Formats: sequence, structure tokens, C-alpha cells
Amino acid sequence: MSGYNYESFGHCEIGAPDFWATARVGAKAPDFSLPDVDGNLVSLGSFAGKKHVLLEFGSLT
Amino acid sequence: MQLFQRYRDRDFQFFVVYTREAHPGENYPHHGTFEQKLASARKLRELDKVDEIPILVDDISGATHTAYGQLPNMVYLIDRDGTVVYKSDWTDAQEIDGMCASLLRLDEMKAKAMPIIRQGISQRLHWIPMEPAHRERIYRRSGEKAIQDYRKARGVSPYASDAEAGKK
Repeated sequence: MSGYNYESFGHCEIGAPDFWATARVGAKAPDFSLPDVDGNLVSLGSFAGKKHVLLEFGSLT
Repeated sequence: MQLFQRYRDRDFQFFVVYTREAHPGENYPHHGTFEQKLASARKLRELDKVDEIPILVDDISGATHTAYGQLPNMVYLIDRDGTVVYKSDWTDAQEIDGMCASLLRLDEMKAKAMPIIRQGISQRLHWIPMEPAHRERIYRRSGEKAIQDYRKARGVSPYASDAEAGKK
């Protein structure tokens, strides 16, 4: 876990080496269930058959 | 008009997924707890005025970030069947716009019962623009440590112009 949350940029490989082999185009997207900042739980599966979902990953920094 | 506004009434839901700090600094250090990560995500909503796109907070070990490949600014578009239809190593609004439009065209094809020969796949390069003022704002927000760490890792300032970086 400490490896994931690195303290200093550059001390760890950014990104998985197999980014293009992970969650590939044409494959089923990995499901998740995550809280929004107000604590409401959102799961990818809940949009099945209803909406297209765009995920933009990021942080403050 | 922003992209999410163009597509939100057409069966699209946009989310930001909050990850580890890509460039931790004095002001926003790496996360030690989920609560700290949640606080940073709330700060993002406040500072970048992300109030219409919900921010989902990944767990402290980055399980979802990892399942999708761990890049700091990656983007995925998942269709309503749960299939990944687009992924990119960086956020490119023009590409996202084009891909959302493709899904709308697919709906039109289905509505007209137009047969589909097969699913094709495309690959492309894209070019990430250097926007020094924007980058300087982000790195200064994190703190001097983030700027120094970048310089150590890459040999140039995070907001160096191409000329400074010795590239064309």
C-alpha cells in the first residue's frame, strides 16, 4: 500500500507497465463500487443497460 | 459548452475517479488514510469547481485505479453494456467528444436496424499540449517538493517550455 501511495514522484513507476493489456477495448470493464465525495455509493454495474459511463482518473496534484 | 453538458441528457454519465496524488507535495502529501484521500477529493471539487461531475473516491490501496491500469490522467468510456469502447493514456477532450458521438451513431444504426459487419478497432497517437501556466498552477498548488521531485525525475521544470527542455 505504501508503494501505491508514493511519497515522492519519480520514486515509483507511474502507471502499470501493462496499461494497454489492462481493461482492454472490447472487454468487459472492471466493476467497481465507490463512494462519491458526499458518501453516496456508485457502482458501474448500476448503469448497465441504461447509460454510457465516462471515467476520468485524476488527483489534485 | 463543456463535454459533459453536451452529453448528459443523451444517456451519458461522466465521473472523475480520485486516485493517489500524482505529484505529492507539502500542501497535498501522499494519502495515509482514506479520510485524507476523501478530503483531497473534496478540495478538488472546491478548487477546480468540479461540482457537476461527481467525484468517486477510490479506496486507499487504489484497487479501481489499478484495475484500470494506474495511469494518472487516463480516460475510459464504457458503453451501456459494460464494454470498454475507448481508453486513452491522457485526457483528450476532442477524442472523447468523437467517441461519445460514435456511440450516438451506433444507437442510430440500431434504431434503423442497420446491420453491422463487425466491430473495428482503431489506434492513434495524440499530442499532449504543454500549457505552462496551467501546469505551474497545479505544481505550485502541491508545493515546492512536487516541483523539485519532478525536476529530479525528469531533468527539467514541470512547466518548462520545449526550448528549455531542449526539445522541438
